[in-house]
Amino acid sequence: MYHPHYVIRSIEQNIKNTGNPLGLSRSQINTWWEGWEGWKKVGEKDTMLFTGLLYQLTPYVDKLVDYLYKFENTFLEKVTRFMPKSPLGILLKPQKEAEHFNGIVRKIADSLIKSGIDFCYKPELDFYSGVLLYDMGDDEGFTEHSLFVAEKLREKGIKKLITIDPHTTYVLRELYPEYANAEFEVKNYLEILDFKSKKENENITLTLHDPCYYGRYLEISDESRRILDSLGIEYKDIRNSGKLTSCCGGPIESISPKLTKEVAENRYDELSKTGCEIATMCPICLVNLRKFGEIKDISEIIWGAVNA
Amino acid sequence: MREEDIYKAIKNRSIRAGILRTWENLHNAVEQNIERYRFLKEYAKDVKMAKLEVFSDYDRWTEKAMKSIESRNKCSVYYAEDGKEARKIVAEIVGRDKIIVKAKSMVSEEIQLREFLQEIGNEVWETDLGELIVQLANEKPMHVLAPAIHYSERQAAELLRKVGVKGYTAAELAEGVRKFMRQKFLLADVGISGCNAFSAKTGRIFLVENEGNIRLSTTLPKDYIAIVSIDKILPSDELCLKLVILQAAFLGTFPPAYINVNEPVEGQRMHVIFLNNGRKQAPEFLKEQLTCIKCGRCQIECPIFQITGSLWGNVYGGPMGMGWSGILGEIGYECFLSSLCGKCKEVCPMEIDMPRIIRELRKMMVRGNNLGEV
Amino acid sequence: MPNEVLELLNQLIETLKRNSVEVYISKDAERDVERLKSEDSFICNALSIAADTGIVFFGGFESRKNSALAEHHIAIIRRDAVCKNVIEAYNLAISKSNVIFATSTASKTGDIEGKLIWGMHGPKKFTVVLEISEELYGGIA
Repeated sequence: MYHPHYVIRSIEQNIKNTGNPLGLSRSQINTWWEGWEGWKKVGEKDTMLFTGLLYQLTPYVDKLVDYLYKFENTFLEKVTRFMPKSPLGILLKPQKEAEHFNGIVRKIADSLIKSGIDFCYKPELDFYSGVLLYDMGDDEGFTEHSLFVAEKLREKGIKKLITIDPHTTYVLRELYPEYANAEFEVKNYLEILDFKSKKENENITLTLHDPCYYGRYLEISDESRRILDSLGIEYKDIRNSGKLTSCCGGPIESISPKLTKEVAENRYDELSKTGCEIATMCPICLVNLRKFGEIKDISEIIWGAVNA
Repeated sequence: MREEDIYKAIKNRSIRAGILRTWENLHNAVEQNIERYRFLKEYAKDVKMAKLEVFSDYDRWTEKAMKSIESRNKCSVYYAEDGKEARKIVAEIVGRDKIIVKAKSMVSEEIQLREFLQEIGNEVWETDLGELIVQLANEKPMHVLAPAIHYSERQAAELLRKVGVKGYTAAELAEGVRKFMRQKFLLADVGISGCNAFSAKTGRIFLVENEGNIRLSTTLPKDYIAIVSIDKILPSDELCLKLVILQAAFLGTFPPAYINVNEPVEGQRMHVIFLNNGRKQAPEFLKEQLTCIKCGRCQIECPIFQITGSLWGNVYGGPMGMGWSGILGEIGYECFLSSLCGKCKEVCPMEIDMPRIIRELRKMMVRGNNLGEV
Repeated sequence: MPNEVLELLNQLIETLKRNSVEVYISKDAERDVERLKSEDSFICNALSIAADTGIVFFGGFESRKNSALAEHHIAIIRRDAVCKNVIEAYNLAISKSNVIFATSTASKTGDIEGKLIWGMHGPKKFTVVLEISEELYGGIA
């Protein structure tokens, strides 16, 4: 177990320095839009695609957690206290994975365009939401960060946000009004994608792993299914889905990556029993579950069906 | 919680096997109960409201509860501020060299009553089959209602052999324990139980069970001690009945085999000990946890608990255990092991917002700089 | 009215069967119970029963003791003891006796590997003899 004290302190410190919990530079993480075809189709609007950087950060987090996993409960555990303060960028270079996750963000953005949704993207205004500080009970740190983010967005006249992951959606929609006094209109991309078509059977049957925040905190599990229905993609739900969905273990990976792995394995076993292709819709669930078998992000499946 | 317990739990795969098996067996039954007995949701609302009402004025309700039986014949009533005081009272009643039969009771785990009574020279038996196995293994219960969830038939057989119970199958072992324990019931000087619900109106103690061991433990001995933690006090018999029905319906097959309604009777000396142990002093954010009826459904459905069992936690493990540890003043940084996934809140009959409570506990530790150094 | 009564009784019988309770429908319980009893059985009159859950209330400390010790617990239930739900049944029982207790099936445990075993510490078998009048008898499903 990594002591919460060190975990919280280093997250807090890193967010203060760089705006994200890993302490990486933004130019290193947020690169998905570089060379993006859709760039010319988005312009100046008050609706902004707000990724919250979670997809982009996840490959780095995963790499770090790999180390934490190896050191947990060994004499090296204490050494890692100094790790997050060092220039991690050198240590962590998940090149291939970063490309994969950037690709997911691009596919989501492309699907939004395909769906006829007007929005802009401003990399300099795309910030990490601060969710980890909130989860860890560091309200002071979270409040400070959320005020900073909200102010930046307000300054540039952003009124509506399109989010792409469950944690950022929850934090921006439910917590920012309270902690940052910021009333943005927050829509998750799954809530607004609408291809206005009824497609034929795509010949795939999915089993969906609903993220806890979609299933319970935001109660928007029906949205992904609505989109799949419109694309003619079938799905087979298990008991633990929607409101009863089960956790991938991700949220505790900074405290006990070993426990995270066990939780994820349990969940993967359960999902794989249907024999269907498994899809999730959260970067954290994705990296945790795919350690045990093939998993796709639902945006990849949607993009594939739309562009088939 | 000791940190190494988590790694012990990860290695001991029989914990998850047992919990997942129990989950498989029970979740359909619980869902069916909720579907079939439509009144359960109403009951839950009534009980939660009543509990919150009682907590809003613990002093008055405790006094009322104590008064309700003080005047009865064959009954002594005590109040204990904490575990130490409760143990002292029990010691005075019991003395030494007695045979004591115990009903499974989490509040007695809370104050480590069995160990204490053994230390002062008594023969103490946990009479619930699962709890007896745990006693013989010298471990803590792995789940509030299914304590021996993590033992296989073979392991249970090995443990039960310590008291001369022979056999290999669950049926043979149960039969052996029945015979063994029947003798203890008949010889016992003292019976001890906890309490699921206490009616402040009539002084009746409600206890729900399936095995019949609580009925025998609280009926046969000449002296009967009931330990009532003050969160069990409810204003009426009807609410008590609703509570025990809820507890049974939310973890397992329904109806329960037995509902015991205990009170002072001719032919038995009854001792009722009301126990506070942190409840009155609980901070506002923990009040909701006090409405917990300890059905343990949040445990069995929790993804972390499914790996660790109650090794994650202190007296009470799992999601509910975090809040209870807060109440008992023994919360440590195990509260950072919750993923805050919210499943506990979703399945809780009382709809207790455990993720909120767990985050509040974290806040308390962060704010008070209570995280300490390692 | 008889229709309502019949409905209630039929609901009760269905509930009891679902609870794995052995049920006998009888026009004369005293007589029929003679055939069921043995040296290991304990027979007592129920104060009330809830038709929706099958929870049976009994009265008296001696009965509580003897019923818990017996191998076979036999309950005689008369038509006027049948209530719609458990709250009604509780209130009826408490109006008839000070010391009450409830049973709904034989003693059981699932503590070893979740395997259901009957007769853990209490009776191995629980039987209900439901006494009803001649005219209702024909309406029982």
